[in-house]
Amino acid sequence: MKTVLEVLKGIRPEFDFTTSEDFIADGMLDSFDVVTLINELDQSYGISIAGTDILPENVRNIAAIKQLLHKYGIAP
Amino acid sequence: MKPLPSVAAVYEQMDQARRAGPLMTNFYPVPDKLQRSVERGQLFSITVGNVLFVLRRDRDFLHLSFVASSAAELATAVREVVASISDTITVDVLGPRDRVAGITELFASAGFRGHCELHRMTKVTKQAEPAPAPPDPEVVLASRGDAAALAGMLETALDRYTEQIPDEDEMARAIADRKVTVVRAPRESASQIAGMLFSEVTGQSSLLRHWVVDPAHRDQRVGARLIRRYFADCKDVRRFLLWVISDNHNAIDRYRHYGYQQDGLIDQVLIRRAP
Repeated sequence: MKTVLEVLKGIRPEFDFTTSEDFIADGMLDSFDVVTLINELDQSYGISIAGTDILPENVRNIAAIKQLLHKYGIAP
Repeated sequence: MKPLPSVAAVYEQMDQARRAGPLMTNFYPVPDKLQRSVERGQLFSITVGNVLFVLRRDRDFLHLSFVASSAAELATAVREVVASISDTITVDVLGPRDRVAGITELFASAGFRGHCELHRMTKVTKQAEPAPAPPDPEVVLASRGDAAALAGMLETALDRYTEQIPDEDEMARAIADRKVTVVRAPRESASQIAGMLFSEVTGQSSLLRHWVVDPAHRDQRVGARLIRRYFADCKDVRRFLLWVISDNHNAIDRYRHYGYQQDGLIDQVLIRRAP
């Protein structure tokens, strides 16, 4: 199973996601990347994230993504 | 076609479309931009089965976005929705070429035709690059009074179906947010503006939205001065992005000169003209 960091690096390898608390405000993920990330999380963890959860605040940083995954029963 | 009353309603409707399976979409919502479209009454939705369509009015046509769970459902729904709309409709299908091809065919079978293909170009810098030159005094921030002239300049120079051209209101906001630089034309010139550059910076990323030189001021290095100022102003940016029309080889060569490379993402712009 991929770690959240590996999923993020797969999308935007040029950024160090461990240094940011807000990937959106820091320009590491844009709106296209957010949807790509949701699809990657779905595929990597075998879940289906609800449309109402496709929000920037749910993928803002690694802790937020882990919390989102936790909601779907995943503890990455 | 129902007006979307709120940003929350957009996400709720996405949720309905999402429940049936994996996400298939060209809808990449940015909450504050959605909010402005809602406030201006530009956003509408149509639901066909499990497929959500979000339409945004832009001048005399509609941008179509979809949220679906399967190609088969989308194919059926697109035909139905297209038959119910009399306006010209455009749809942007984004992704790597192999993923875009199937969706493009699906829209073609519903009456859309290829209009244009855009390629994304990216420039990644390892660390902050030094400013290449002292500030150029003739490259200045656009002022509020420039909004109409700049919006008109883009409308004349660019293709409205392809280029996401800002209207005067959006241009005025961009000017207030210091996103637009200009080189002013000499007083004796017919135009006010010799060239303009509109960019958006978010943290370590920047999108170069529009970089246009008035035809009467070409070959005077206006464009080069604008982009040098842009890079000098973006010292903390690591990822520079732009979209370019795929057969505009002169522009692609120019962007390569400044360090951009095509990154494999394409935007196939399709159009169904008003019957």
